[in-house]
Amino acid sequence: MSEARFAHAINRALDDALAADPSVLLLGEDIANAGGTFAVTRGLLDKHGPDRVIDMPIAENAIAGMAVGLALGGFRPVVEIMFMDFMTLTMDALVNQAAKLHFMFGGQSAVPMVVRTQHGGGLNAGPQHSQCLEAWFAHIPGLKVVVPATLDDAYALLRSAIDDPNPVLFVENKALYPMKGALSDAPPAAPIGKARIARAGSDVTIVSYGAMVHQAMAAAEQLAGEGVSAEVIDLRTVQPWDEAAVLASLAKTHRLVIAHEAVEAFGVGAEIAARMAQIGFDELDGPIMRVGAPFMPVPFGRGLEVDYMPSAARIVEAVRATDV
Amino acid sequence: MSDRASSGAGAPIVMPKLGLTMAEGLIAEWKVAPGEAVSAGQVLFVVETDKISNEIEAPADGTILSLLAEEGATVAVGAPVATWTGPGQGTGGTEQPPAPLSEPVGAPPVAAPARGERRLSTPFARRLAQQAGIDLADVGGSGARGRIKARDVQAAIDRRTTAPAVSAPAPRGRDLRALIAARVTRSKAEIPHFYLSADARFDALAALRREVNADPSSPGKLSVTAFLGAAVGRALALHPEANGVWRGDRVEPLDAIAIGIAVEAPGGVMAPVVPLGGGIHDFASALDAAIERARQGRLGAADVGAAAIGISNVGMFAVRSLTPIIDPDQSFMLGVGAPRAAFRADENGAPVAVRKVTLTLACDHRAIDGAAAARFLATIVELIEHPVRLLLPIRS
Repeated sequence: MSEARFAHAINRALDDALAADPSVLLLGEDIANAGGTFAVTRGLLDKHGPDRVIDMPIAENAIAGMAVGLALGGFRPVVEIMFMDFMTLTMDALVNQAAKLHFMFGGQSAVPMVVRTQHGGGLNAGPQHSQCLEAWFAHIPGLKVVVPATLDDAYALLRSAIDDPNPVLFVENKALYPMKGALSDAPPAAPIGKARIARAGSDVTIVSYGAMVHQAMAAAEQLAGEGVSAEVIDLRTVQPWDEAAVLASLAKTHRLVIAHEAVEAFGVGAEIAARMAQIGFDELDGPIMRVGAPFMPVPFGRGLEVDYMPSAARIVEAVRATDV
Repeated sequence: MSDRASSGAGAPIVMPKLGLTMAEGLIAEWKVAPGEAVSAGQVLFVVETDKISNEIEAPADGTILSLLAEEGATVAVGAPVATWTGPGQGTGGTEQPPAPLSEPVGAPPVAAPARGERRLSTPFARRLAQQAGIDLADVGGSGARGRIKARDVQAAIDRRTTAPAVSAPAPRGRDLRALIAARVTRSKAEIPHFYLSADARFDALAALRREVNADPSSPGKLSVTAFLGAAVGRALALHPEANGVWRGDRVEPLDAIAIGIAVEAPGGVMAPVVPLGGGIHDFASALDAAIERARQGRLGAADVGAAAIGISNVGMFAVRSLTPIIDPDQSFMLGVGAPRAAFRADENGAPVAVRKVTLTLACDHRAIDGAAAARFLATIVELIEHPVRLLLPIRS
């Protein structure tokens, strides 16, 4: 166990994966010589060489397409798409090809690729560099979407994603990169699709993932001071999400709040709310509340962005609104 | 508190006096919030005393300005509990004696809407209610727009202890068991009890009761308890020295005759006080109504009048006798056992089969001495054995 930064946990996972499996390759813009825009891949070029850690031209569609071909050809490419906003350029390769091929080939082939990308605001990076678009990909059958919240999970989930025989979108919240925390020497395995109870509670369930888990924890702490025992579920994986874990928690608390940084409308929270309203109907003792960003582009200005981003205070507010 | 009430920020609403011995009341629930406009007759808050739970209504229209006592707080009678724009209740600067906001009459109405009306309820509350066999029509909703939440159903389940068919809103806030515990402990600690026992032949009363209840012109059925109450009340009328209670350092005589009746209710025994006046049928119907209110946990201010004696009848359990504990506000408690068959010698010494009951009278020695109490009990026995007089109107 050592203290490290979130970015370091991902760096270590990539390092260990490169060392463990010669078919693993890293592809991306500025990941090799520059060590990544956020220094996540720093040092990997020196350690594993230019054949394994490869700088790519500024052409996300080409990077993604190449990764699909490499995956079909027996490699395990790990692509970095700098800023999730630029995933728009990868859509054909990812959505029409990678997601479908295992199905279309009748199981005779698979696409074991990982796309690492960064979502989230808070860095005043503007509307084109701050979006949280994970719901797009969670909507596509054949894609898995993973969003870690802790250092150990960042490590373990990335290793699981690289080991997965199918395409996985691995979403890192860029505001978390500098976050310090404990990183286990051997982080416990984190299988894709299993949620984690980040904090046990009995009065209300707050479901979250990624950076918003920390806001949910802060909200739970505040609520505890008011005598409300909140259970915080860290989904860890958005697709497939751990429906059973959320239902079990709802069956315990009978109140549900879903918090994410992405815009609220048509988001991940909408899916969870709809499923719980269906299969967890008899457990509900109040309306399901969602906490998300307003339906508008992410503002540039610092003050505006602070208001735009969901906060612990808004989660607390939503928790209160479940008890009406 | 009174400073705030008298500082010009509206008139006070005070803790009403509900019953003779009430010195303080517990604010079980506020039904209004500061800033809320209320109309005359609207329930403002629920008061619990050691005997009853009662809804206090607004005496006039007005707006609530502030709440001075929190839920769960115990407030002295006459002390302000809230301020409002309506008429004052005589505290905070004025010298008028505190008065009740309104004269509560009988049991408060149930707030639940009529059956068939749509009730808002959460899915979980509905599931809980269904599993527990609770009718949501009998549950009050605490959520927005009166929505029934799981906690409301749970409260209904908690209240329903011994009598599942009765949806009884038992006293809120304080545990009835704890109230009973405090009262009986106080009684045994403060009241020097002595006990007298006697057997009363029961055949005549049982026969008379059968005859009266079989008569088509009878205005209603008479229970054994109604006959016993009438006998005890008439005995009190014949022994006015027994119709008093020990208060402070003397016997305080009571004006009217009333009987406390121990009733098994959900959550624990309750003892409404029923006045004795008019004929036995009037008493019986008042008694039946009070017993029903006690079983539903809805005893009101009318059920806490002063009485010198209570009756605890365990005859229905085939128990031979009961040595009771006196209600702390009374002087006697009569324990009544089950009627049972026995042989007695007739005038010639031959055995005759009879039915008899064992009566055990617990007495407060501060209020009465042994001989006087024995005469009182002998009169009760006499009246039970010659019950026809119980049908006559009582002259008090």
